[in-house]
Amino acid sequence: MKVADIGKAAVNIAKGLGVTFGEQLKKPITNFYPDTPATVKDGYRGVPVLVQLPTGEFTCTACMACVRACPIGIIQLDTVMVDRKRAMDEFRLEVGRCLQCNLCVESCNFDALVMAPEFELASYTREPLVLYKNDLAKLYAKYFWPKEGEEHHFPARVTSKHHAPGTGTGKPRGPRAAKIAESGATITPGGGGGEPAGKTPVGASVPAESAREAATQPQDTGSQKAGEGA
Amino acid sequence: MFGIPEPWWSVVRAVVWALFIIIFLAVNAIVAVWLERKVSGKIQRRIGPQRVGRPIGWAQTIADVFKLLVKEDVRAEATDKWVFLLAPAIPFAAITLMFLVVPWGKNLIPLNLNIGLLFVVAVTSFEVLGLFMAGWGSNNKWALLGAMRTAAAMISYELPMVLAILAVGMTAGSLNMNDVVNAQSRVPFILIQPVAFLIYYIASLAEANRTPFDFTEAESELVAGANIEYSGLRWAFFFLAEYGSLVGTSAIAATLFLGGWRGPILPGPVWFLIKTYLLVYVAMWIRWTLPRVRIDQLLDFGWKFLLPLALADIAVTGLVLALL
Repeated sequence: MKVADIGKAAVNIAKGLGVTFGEQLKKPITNFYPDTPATVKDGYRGVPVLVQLPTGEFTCTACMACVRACPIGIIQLDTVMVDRKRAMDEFRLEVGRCLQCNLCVESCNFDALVMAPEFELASYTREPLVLYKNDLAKLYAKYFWPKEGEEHHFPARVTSKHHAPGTGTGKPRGPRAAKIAESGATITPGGGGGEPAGKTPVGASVPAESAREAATQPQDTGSQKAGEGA
Repeated sequence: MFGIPEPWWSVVRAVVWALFIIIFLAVNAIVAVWLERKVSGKIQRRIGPQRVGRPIGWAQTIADVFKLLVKEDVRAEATDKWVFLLAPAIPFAAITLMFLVVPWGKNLIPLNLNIGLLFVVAVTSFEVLGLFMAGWGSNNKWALLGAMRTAAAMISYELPMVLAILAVGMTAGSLNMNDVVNAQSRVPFILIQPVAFLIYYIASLAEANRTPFDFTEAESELVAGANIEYSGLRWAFFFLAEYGSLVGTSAIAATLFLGGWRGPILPGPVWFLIKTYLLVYVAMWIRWTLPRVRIDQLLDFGWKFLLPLALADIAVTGLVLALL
């Protein structure tokens, strides 16, 4: 081996040592979870939840598109006939097996599903991993219901381009469209949650008590909708 | 001394020093492992252990040692029984012996041998024997391969190490460790013999099987090398010997090149520990910076570069000493 090689090697080793010494002086990037809250980026796909109007009704029309779209068939929808029209009776989502692929949300033509950034789902038994419409309503209230004094942002369709905000349809669609427009809620294209550059602390949005109660009341959406729907 | 008649005083002194060295090595293993995890964490922009013994995780290694103590002592049936069982004791004994001639303070040396440096050299060769016994006695081809590679590396780096120590002996004019420290009263030998220091330090990293020379325990290659069949306390002995070897060679380097216990204001043993652990920290810093070298690159480097360099260093030292 030549002397020049040794010299170069020694210089490179010294440079490497300098780099690691510099690293020791920098602040660690450790997040002390669970003592400090974990943060996820906006648009994080956690659990698909059912979208609710400000009155608390679901916008789901029981068209079964999400049931057909789910690649592993974890969505089950029970319907009931109301005024000779189909309406949703019970919505069952086995979130324990959810891939977060977003296909159900993309397939919904009425913007009735949106991805909530919930990830703390661990439990000791399997039962809590099956979510029904009331559980999904609670999750929707946790992440998308406006706080006291805030405007009601109605999350329009979250597409696979949800990382690029502003590319959603921006308009509610389907039989509820009129109702949504009447409710005075602001439509947030590209999904709910806030500015794209920010990070959403998990569980940060705690809705006002009364509105939350309204949102989480067991909804008998079928009978009401069909009679009043557009 | 202290009113105790002579034969008994020597015995008491010997027992106290022996206990002190063994306890120091045990505590050092705990501290060095914790330090290694913290330093590696810092270099990797994270925090090392922090929950066991908040907030700096000082009790982490103690918890690990306790876990090792209660592990099952597995011994495969086809192993060579006595070779297998005795192997862990030998590196540990070698390291303990190495500390016999290390001066901790002005008159604090367990054994004031006139051939202290030669004793150090002789004793460090024992570690190879221990690891090789482990590799052979395990009746496991991976262990044997690891042991043979370790033996090759350690033997290859003993020669440059010995020559570097010889250079220091020539500069100090004596092989007695106390004389070496006293000869550094004005200037530490690292300034007079920088090449010898580098050769000694690199060779000692190879002897302690530290990265970049740690292929014997390269977890991704040979699992644990020669230690593969050991569990629980037996494995802990090898572990203790590895970190003991690291602190032992750092202590020798601090004595030979940095002036041992010499230093202003603070008492001797404190300076000695500061210098030793500074070199230990540098070894850890190197470990988490450099990649591992291949066995052939390692042997190349030892025989074709370090050995000629050490010989040249001795030649130049001799020439300078003859001319002065």
